[in-house]
Parts: sequence; C-alpha cells; structure tokens
Amino acid sequence: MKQSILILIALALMVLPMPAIYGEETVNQENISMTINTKDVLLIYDQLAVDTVYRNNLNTVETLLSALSRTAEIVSIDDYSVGQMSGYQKLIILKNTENPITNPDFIHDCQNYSGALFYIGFDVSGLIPALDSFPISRQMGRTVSVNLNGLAINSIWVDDLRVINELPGSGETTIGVGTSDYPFSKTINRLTYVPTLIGDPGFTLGLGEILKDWFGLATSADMTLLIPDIYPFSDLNMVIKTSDAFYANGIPFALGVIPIDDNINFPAMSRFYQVLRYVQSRNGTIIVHRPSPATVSDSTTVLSEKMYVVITKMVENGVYPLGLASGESLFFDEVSKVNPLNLFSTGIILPDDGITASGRKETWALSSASLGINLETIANTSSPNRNFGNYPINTTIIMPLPENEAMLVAQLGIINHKWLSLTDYKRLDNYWTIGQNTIASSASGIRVNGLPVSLSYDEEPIEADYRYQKPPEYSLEKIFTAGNIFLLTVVGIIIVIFIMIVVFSRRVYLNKFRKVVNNNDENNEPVIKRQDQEGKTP
Amino acid sequence: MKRNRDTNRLQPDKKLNHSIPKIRAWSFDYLLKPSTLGVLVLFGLLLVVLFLTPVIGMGDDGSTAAIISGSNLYNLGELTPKEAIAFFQKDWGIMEYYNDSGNAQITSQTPFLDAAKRLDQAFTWDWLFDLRFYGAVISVFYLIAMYFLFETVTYGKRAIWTYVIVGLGVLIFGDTGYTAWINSFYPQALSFFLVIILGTSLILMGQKKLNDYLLIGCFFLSALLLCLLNQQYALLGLFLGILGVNLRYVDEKKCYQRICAVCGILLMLSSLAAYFMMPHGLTKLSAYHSMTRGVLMTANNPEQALKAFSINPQYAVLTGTSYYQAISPETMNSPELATAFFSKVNPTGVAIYYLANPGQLYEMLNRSVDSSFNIRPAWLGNYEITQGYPAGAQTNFFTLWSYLKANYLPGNFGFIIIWMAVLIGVYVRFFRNGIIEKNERNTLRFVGLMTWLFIGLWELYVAIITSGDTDTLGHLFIFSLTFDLISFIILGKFIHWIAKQLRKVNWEARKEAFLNRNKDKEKKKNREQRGYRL
Repeated sequence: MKQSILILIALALMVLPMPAIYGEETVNQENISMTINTKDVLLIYDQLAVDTVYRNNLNTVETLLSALSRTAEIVSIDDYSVGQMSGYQKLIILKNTENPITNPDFIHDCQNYSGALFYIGFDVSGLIPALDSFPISRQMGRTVSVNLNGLAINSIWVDDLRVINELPGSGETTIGVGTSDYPFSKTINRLTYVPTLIGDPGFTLGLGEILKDWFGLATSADMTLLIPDIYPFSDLNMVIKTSDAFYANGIPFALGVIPIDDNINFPAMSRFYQVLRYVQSRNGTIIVHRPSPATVSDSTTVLSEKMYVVITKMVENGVYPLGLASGESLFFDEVSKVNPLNLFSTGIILPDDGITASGRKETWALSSASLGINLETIANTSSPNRNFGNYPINTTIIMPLPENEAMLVAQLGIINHKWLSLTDYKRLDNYWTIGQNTIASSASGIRVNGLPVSLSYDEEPIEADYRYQKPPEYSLEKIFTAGNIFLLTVVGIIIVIFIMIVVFSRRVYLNKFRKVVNNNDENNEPVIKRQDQEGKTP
Repeated sequence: MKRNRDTNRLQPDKKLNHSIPKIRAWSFDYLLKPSTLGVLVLFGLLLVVLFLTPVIGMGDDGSTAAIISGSNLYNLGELTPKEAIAFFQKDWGIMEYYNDSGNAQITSQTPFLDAAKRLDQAFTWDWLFDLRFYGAVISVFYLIAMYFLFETVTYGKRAIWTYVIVGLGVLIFGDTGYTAWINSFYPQALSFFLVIILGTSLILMGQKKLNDYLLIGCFFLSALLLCLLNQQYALLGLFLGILGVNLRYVDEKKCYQRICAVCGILLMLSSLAAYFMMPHGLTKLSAYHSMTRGVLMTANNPEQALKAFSINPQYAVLTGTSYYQAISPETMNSPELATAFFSKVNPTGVAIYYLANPGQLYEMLNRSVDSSFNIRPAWLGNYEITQGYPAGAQTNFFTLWSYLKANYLPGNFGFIIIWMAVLIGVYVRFFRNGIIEKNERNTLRFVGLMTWLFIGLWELYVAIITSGDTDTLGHLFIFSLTFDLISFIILGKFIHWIAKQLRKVNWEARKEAFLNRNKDKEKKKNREQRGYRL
C-alpha cells in the first residue's frame, strides 16, 4: 500500500514544476499521504471585508492567479476542514481583517504546514511563529508609489500602510513612501509575506510580480492592447477609422467581439464580418468575449451550442478569433459547463467589478493569459527611460472604442507618448479546436486546419434582397398544389359547361313560354280534373 | 342569538312558526335571486381559492415595486427574484418609520392598499402585511361588480334560463385564471372590477334597474380610478369623460344633467393631468420589446424599419430577440445604447409607424389576440413556495374557462372582427331605435358594450405599441376581460332569446301531435289503401 502511494508521489513529482520539487525535500511523509491535488495552489481567506478598502483583495488575488494561468482551490477560514492544506505544496493566506481566527483546525494545520506559504495582509500573532519576527512599521494615511523594476505607479492613497522596515535589495519590487523605499514583500525560508494589499492596479501588478517569482514562472512578459465590447451594432465606421489609425501608427491591437447567435445570416451580420475582416487586414486580431452570464440561461447546452454556432460562422466568413476575453467568474464554473470556451489556449482576464461570491470554489485556467489593465494605469505609470518597457506580468491594455475622432487622437497620443512596446496578439502561441475547425497562430501567421490563410481584405458583395420573412413551410405541399390545380381545372370546365347551359337554355326557356301561350287550355284542364277527382274520393 | 333561544324557550312553537315563513320569504326574495345566488357561489369560491390554504395568488415580477412602496410596503426579500416570479408571496413588510425612498408612486391603487394595510394592522401587530387583506378589499368590490353584471343579464327575473346564465358567468369570471390576480399587487386586480362596473352601470341605467344617481356615481368613480391607475390608462379618461358629458341626454332631471356635465369635465381634466404628471411606465424593457418583438419582427425589411426611426440599420441583428437574450446588462445600461437606440424609440413613433404599415399592425394584432387568450402569464406561479409545488406551478382548480379559451378559441384578429360584426349586428338596432324614438336611455345598452369594446381595442393597440408581443404591463388582460364580458352579455341575450322562443311553443299541442303521429300514419295508410282499392 505504502509502496504504491510512494510510486504515485514520485510520478507526481516528475510532473510538478521545478520549484515544487525543491520544496519536496522537507515535506513530511504523513502530510502528503492525503490526496494529491490537481490544483496548483490553495487560497484561504478570512473574510470578504465588504465595507473596507480591502473588499477587492480576494478578487485581485483570484484574478492574478488566473492571469498567471494557475489553478486554485479557494476556501474561507470558516469553511476550512482538517488536513485540507496538507494536500498542497503551495498555500496563500489572505487576511483582510484584524479579526481573530476562530477555526482551531486551521490554526493547528497552519502551524504544522511545511509547504511554501504566501501570506498577505494582517498578521495574527501566534498563527505562524516565523511571521511574528518580521519587522513591521505601520503608518497611517500615506501616498505611496509601487516600483516595479524601474516602472513606478504613482500617487496611490493608502489609509493604513504596513511595510517591512528594512532596506530593499536591488531589483526588488518596492513601495516608496516619500523619499524612503520599503520592500513590497519579504521571504524567509518557505514563508513569503506581503504586509499591505489594496485593490489598486499598482498593488495588483506588484503582487503579480511577487507571485510570478513565487510560482517560478518564465520571466518574459508581453503587453497587448484590446478594444473590448464590439457588437454588430457598434459604431463600425469608428472601428474602421480606429484600425486604420492604429495600422498607420504601427500599433498591433485586438478587437473583442461579443458573440451573438441570433439572426446570424442577416445582411447586417455579413456587414459586421466584413468589417472584422477589414480589421484583420489592418493587423488587428479578433478576440471573442465570453457571452454575458446574464444572457445565457441556466442550461449548459445553450452556451456551447451558441458558441459553436458563432465560431463556426465566424471562420466561414474569414474571421479567425484567436483568444478569449472573460471576467474572472468564468473560471469558477466547471470546465464542462463553459465548453467550448475552455478550448482556447490564450485569454485576457478582464477586471470583474464587485466582490466575488463567498463559498468554496475551484478554478481552472487557460494555458496562457494576461491581466487586463486600464489606459489610466499606463498614464499613471512613470518610466525612467523614454521607452516604457514592460510590466512584470502579461498585461493587456483595455481601451474602449473611441466615441469620436478627438478621443481617438487622444488615446493614440497616450500610446505613442509612452513608447509602449506592444506585442501582436497573433504572434503569441494561440491554438484551439472547436467543432470542425482547428486554428493555430504564431509568429509565422494564422493557420486554419493546418493551412496558412491570407488576411488581405477583399470586399464581398452583401445580398441586397435578403428575405427576412421566411415563408412558412407546409407538409404535403406538393400534393395540395396538385390537388388545387386539379380542382381548378374541374371547376373551370364546370363553369364553362354551366355558361353554355345558361346560354342555350334561354332558348329552351323561351320555348316553354311559347308552349304555354299555345296550349294554355289543354294544359290546365287535366289538372283541374285531377283535383276534382281527389276531392271526390270517398 | 342568545335572546332568540330564550324567546324560543318561552314561546317555542308560536315564534318558530312565525319566523320560518318570514325567513323563507326573505331568503327567497333576496338570497335565491339568481344574481345574489351567483355572487354567493363566487364568494365561496374566492374563500376557498384566495383565503384558505393552499393560498392561490400571482408571482411578483417586480413591476409593482414602486406602487407598493407608495403605501409604505416593501418586499421582505425572502425569495430570489427568480423565485419571486415562480412563487406567490403572501407576506410583505410594512415600513415602520417615515420613508422617503424616492421611487414611490401614488396611483389609484394606493387608497385600496392603505385600506388593506389598516385592516391588517387592526388584526395583527407584527409589521407584516398579509396580501390576503388586500385580496379581501378587492374581493368586496369584485363581488359588487359581479352582482351588477348578473343583474344586467338576468333582468332581475327568476327563471331557469337566468340561473343557467348566472352559472355560465360564475364559470367564466370566477375562473381561477381571473381571481388569482386579486391576490397580487398588479393593477390588473383593480382594473378587473373597475372595467366590469364601468360597463354594467351604463347597461343597468339603460334597463332602469337601479337608482340613476347610484349608477352615474359608480360610472364616474370607476372611470376616474381606472384612468388614474396607470399612465397608459390615462387617455381612456378623455374618452370616458366625453361619454360622461353626453350621458346628460339620458334623463330630463336638471340635477342629473348637471352631475353628468361637471363630472365628465372633471374626468377629462384629471385624465389629462394624470397623463402628463404620472411617470410613464415605459421601461427600457418594454421599449426594447416594442422594437425587437414588434416593429422589427414583423417588418419585411428590418433595416428599412430602423431607418424610419433613424436608428443604425445594424440593429437589425436584434430582430426577434428578447431583452435578456442578446445583450449583456452592462451594455444595455450603457450611454451608447441609450443615445443610439433607446432615445429614438417612443410609443408615439411606434404608433405612427404601425399606422403607416397596416400589414404589420394586423400581424401584431393576430399575435396579441392569441397571447391575450392566455389570461395567466405562463411564467407567474400561483402557489407559495412552502406548498412544495415545482417552481412556476399554476393551479388547475376551477380553470375550465381559461383552459378552453387558451386552447380552443381561434386566437387571431379575423375572429375578433367576425365577433365584433356579430356584436354590432345584434345590438345596433337598440341604438337606432333609441335615436329614432328620441329615447336616449334605450341606446345605453349598446353604448355600454361599445365602451367595453373600445377599451379592449385601445388596450390591445397600446400593448402592441408599448411592448410588442411581450405584454409586460398587462394591457392584454383588459382586452381579454372585455372580450369575455361582451361575449357573456351576448350569450346571455342568446339564452334569453332561446328561452323566449321555447316559451312561445305550445308544448301540449306538440305533445299531442307527437303522440298522435302513429294514428295519422294509420289514417294515411288507410287512405292509401283505399286509393289503391280505387
């Protein structure tokens, strides 16, 4: 028994990434003999902290994990059950409040935990002995900046700032308060501590860098640009103008398209696809949005059927969506329920407003993803060089479709002024197989079912006399038409005969009168006689 | 009661003998009158359906939130919005302190709700409002309305045929499809009895059954309440006001004429005021549906239809979609959609469009008539969640008429046209005779029916221009109701006519003839045989 478990563990270790294997050395036999989890990390939080500045923290961590394409199991301290964390090599604890912990199982397991631990937020004395030795300085009401390898995100207001009172090492992410710098996080042995986190883009990116190092992911990061929420009835002229302007400025961009499966053959839809083809020819990439959960009913088949139909239709029309744009909540659903959205290899995690629902959740992840950030975050970031450089993790700038040309010019100005080095989304490693179609794209271009396709734009005529109202279909229509024709002929012949009878019978009719005039007396007499006879019968 | 027993003990035989015939006579005079008997049966039905468990009511789709907060009531929020639609909620909260919630709306429903709230507070002190108290208040008026209705068809007579008609009336208007609305905050509960009183008071006046002043009061009061119920009803007040002013020709009493003129003018003024002052209940939802499930769905070319509204023709992709189907809520509430789409859709524009495209209007009328024959919207549940029925379950108790109506009546506008032709054909001679004889009172029977017809058709049209074929404001309910009312009156007339014809027949002679038929044959045979002999 023990042997087979050991073999299983050995197999698992071969699959696990390198940092996990380093961590294995000190892992106790009894701890890992529980179950081997398929999720990368266990995230435990104390409370949602709804009415505080920390209300977005859980969402931030969850979003970052998805953007780093890590899968996670998420549970609150109250729902925690004994031994749950021993199945994980990595554990993140998010402490949003200073409230004491009431779950004794959690405290016990925490003190005995031997895997890599990432602790965010308020320290609880006695929970983790190593944590109490960190030198913390607490400052109230500060404007801080977060420095990421030279990029500084400035003017972030923090009510209650806790920092590690040490000098940062070189190349470390830091929090700058006035003239002094403090490290964003500190690692001792297997414990990493981030004392302050608020739901702000600067802190999110800072935490993203720390988490990325903690997971030991590749160091290179890409920045892409997305124009989201394009409907068939959006301002398509503006879409064309924007793509022309971006093309002229050499800016690669992606266009987020909302899938609509109604009236998919209408000329309006063809016109929309035509515009999307034009965008592709202008070095734009098409990204598909997740259909809003509010528009999809509970049944799972609706979503899949809808998406299969839409994507097949898009490919038929020469539009090749390469990635998925979705909020964080998609990853809480089961993979089988979101099919075929999980078949995309790459995606953009859009900021999800509001507090995520509580309860035990498990997430899945795309094989590669990026974090959506606003254009304002870019504007608030200062760079030491003229060239902007790059954020530590994959990011996608979300730039709404400009309403008019002045806005377009302003937005272009920000991108050009910052000297952003944007990556073409097409050149990332995108691939999917949905239904009959397989699409892959890389630096060498897009391949559909293994064949390279041209993205040059050629205008196709749109059916002008499209028939919107389909004539209803009847069963046995042929028999009834044949029957109708037969009846019409019969009735026609009868009418002809009838007319002939009417015409010829006039003479007969007139003849009748002639007879009456001629033989009046003769005709009447016998009748009278008959009546008389009847009356007289006894 | 106690005294009665005492007296009984003192003079047992004498008193009883005295009182029994009296009670008998009284109950024969009043209780066993067909109309009273019908109302009593309805009372029993209502008691069972609305007030005893399992309580039947209507699920709440949230459209009445503004009205109930106008009476300081609130949703306890025990059910999720989805469950609230699928299940009936009996208990609502009463706000304990003064509340200025901002979205409160005062309509003619408010006094009824307030009365019900007082009644509830007189019985219980738990700051919970039992919806059945409101149901009770509405039921009282409903029973009065039904008494009026039965009076109009029975002519106060006592015969087998009147009992048959009243039985039919109970079957049609006591249908749970109708009465379930009474246990709900929807304006349908109120308009249900208001529309009945409106027409019957005119017809009763024509029949000279009850006091004129009482009836004219009923007419004006119900018209006023109806036009203050909702902004969409407000314009009806204008029509009813003109009708009210013309009612003065009915009687020669000066006082009566003055009442008619003054009340009619007041009604017109208040309906105009209501039209401009009341918040127009046209939500984004109904504006969206009036286009996608109306104009665009029936248009030969949706893009051209959109151009007529100067909307981007690309919106044609939304043809036939429902509000929750294609567009995410965030986009639906975005300023882009507001300027590009919603700002250009208004009922007047849609009305003008339909007048310019009568083919589409006819198509929409067909669809609306069909859906109006379902008195109960299919998605609103009837049972409380505690009863353990599946979500959205609707009761089958006493729903024969709504079942027949939904499944067997031809639901298209052609049928309605034929039906209207029959109605006008039967009744127009009363109107003609009344005008020729200068006896305006005799025209009232026709006028009453025409008022119903007008209200029904008006509501049908309003439903189409405000929400396409997805009626969310319940206009189709009114159309369905007026259809039933008029059909019921015609049916009553028909049964009355048959009864008259049957009375004319000399049954004894027929019987004799039937019994003697063989004798006749024998005679004939004899005659023929003789003939042969000859």
